[in-house]
Amino acid sequence: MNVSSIIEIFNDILDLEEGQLTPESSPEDIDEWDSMANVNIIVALEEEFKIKFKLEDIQDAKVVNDFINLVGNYTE
Amino acid sequence: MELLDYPLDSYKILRKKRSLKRKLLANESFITKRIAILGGTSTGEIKEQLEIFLLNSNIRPDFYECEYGQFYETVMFEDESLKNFNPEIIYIHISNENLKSLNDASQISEDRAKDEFIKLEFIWQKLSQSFDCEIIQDNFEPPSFKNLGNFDVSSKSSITRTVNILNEMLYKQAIEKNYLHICDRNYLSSKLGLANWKDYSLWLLAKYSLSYQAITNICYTLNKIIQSISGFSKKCLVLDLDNTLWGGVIGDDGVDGILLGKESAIGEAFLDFHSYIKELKNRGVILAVCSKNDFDNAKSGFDHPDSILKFSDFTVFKANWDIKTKNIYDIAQEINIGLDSMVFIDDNPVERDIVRKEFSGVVSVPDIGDDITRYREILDGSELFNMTSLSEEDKKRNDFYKNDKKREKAVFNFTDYNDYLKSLKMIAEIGRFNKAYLTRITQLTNKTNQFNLTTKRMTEKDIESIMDDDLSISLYAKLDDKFGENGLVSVIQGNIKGSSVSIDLWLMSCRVFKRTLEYTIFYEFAKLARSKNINTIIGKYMPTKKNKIVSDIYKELGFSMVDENNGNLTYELNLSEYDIPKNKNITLKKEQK
Repeated sequence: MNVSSIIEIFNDILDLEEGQLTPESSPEDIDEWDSMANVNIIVALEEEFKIKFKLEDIQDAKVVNDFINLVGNYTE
Repeated sequence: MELLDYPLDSYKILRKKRSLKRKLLANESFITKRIAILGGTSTGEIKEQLEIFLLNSNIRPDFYECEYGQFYETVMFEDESLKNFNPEIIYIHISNENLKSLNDASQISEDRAKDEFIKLEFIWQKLSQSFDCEIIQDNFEPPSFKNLGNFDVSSKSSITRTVNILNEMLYKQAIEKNYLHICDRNYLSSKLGLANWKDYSLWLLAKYSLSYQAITNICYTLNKIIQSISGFSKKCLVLDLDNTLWGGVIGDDGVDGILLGKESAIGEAFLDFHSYIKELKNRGVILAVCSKNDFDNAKSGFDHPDSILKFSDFTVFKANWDIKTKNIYDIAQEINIGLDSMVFIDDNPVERDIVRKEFSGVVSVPDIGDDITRYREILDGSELFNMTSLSEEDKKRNDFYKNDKKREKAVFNFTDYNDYLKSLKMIAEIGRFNKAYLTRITQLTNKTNQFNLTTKRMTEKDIESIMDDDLSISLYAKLDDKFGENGLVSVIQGNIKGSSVSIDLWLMSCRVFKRTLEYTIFYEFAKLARSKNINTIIGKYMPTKKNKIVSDIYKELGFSMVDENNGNLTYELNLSEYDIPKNKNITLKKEQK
């Protein structure tokens, strides 16, 4: 698993400039990160890493770092 | 934009959605459409992706979305915000999840389907009464689960059968109601496979009845339906020859050496591609050849005994060594259609790229690759020749253009254009709008871009109400000549107010440009106006990128300009002291009443 490729997905979906996003960023900090974008991110991560999240895992993921760890758990 | 062409990479589109939108909005030549999405399940993602596809087709949508799941209530209780929005297109996005009777095992399938159908019919009726709009209705895919197992398909009382019966009921309505269009979600689901069509977690999380991959695909099709409704469908298929219509190089291999026919697997694949193209031709798509070849060599390929396509199937045949962009431009000129009506098919990626770059966003260039086993699938999946109705004129179109070519040859024999016109022995039939021509007249108003004074697009319902309106003067014209029929090619319509009539619609198919038919139809219009004691005719010219050809027509007819507003010109003609110029080049078939 590659952290920068996850960041890239966030940047694409949220249409952000490089560097705008930190591991601690959450929907509260980023205007573009609304509930629809959140679904977009989940679907994109699943697609990119060929994984399928369990529902309970998705519900716990809040900040960027949570998603990075989550993908890590599924791809190990 | 290539990313938005078939075959679709839904993941890439999802990732680039926002930046794509930014880029596409930089274009400035949009038409706008007010589109209401009435959903039974979530619609947010559909709206966002559909927007990208529409923008890419030069349509900028204003969207209305009903509250989550409230498609029925929004219509039933005549939602005020929908009324104010006044949609031009309404998309009813519902799925099996919304069919409450579907699981009612106490009823047989026929009754379950009927229960659901009645609700939908009510919605369409109500919407078509309230709005002047086109309705796009999803049909239904097979259920993901069959509790009767294989027997579900033929049981008296099952979900699968209910869905099938209901779908059939929808199609019957779509045949009857011209404003109703079916989005064939059922077909798309089998194409992608039901397992890919739905994403159960996504349903639980966000209440989407479709997977993301499915959403991208349905939005692609919706865009094509909307393009077609808006008169943006393609008319002409331009084809390369070597390794596109046969295997091998005709110049090197000769007619006996090319691969075409059932003797080889590859030859058979090219034959199948021929059949597919021939069917497109039969329903009105114009065919042209654009090939880097010696003309005689190229032509000889169609002498191959197995060739389904014949030399005579092509309205224009360009086989030379010029660059293809020039040839494509010339083909458009010769047929007299816009470049944006053209589709270019070539196995050579370099040629495709050149055409795509030169005519970016104008000529469609599907990426058919260089593998004959995929050409047909990619061309078909691209849905470029989508239509919402099929008129008699469509089927005859190739003949019409053929006759045009004969006329063009004839024109060379005359030094005086008037002599040429006389020699054509043109006969026009001019009459009031009537039911028989409803589809054709509507089609003309939506397709005609060049000879079109106001570019007012109209639906069949609009035309129908004009037909019955006493305060409207509406005439159509058909034109025949010694080379054949041209069909219904021109329409003029004015609204009467007191002692004046204002021409709100006046257009003519490019098929009959420069044949002076405009004078004949105007003559009849003015005569009819005079008989209704009208003394002023008001004409409007609203400029677009494409209708410069008619910018001076009112001046030519003796109108004087009375107003200019944002480039829109208004003209007036005092009919009481006007000597209507009679066109001697065209005889009338029957005097209209």
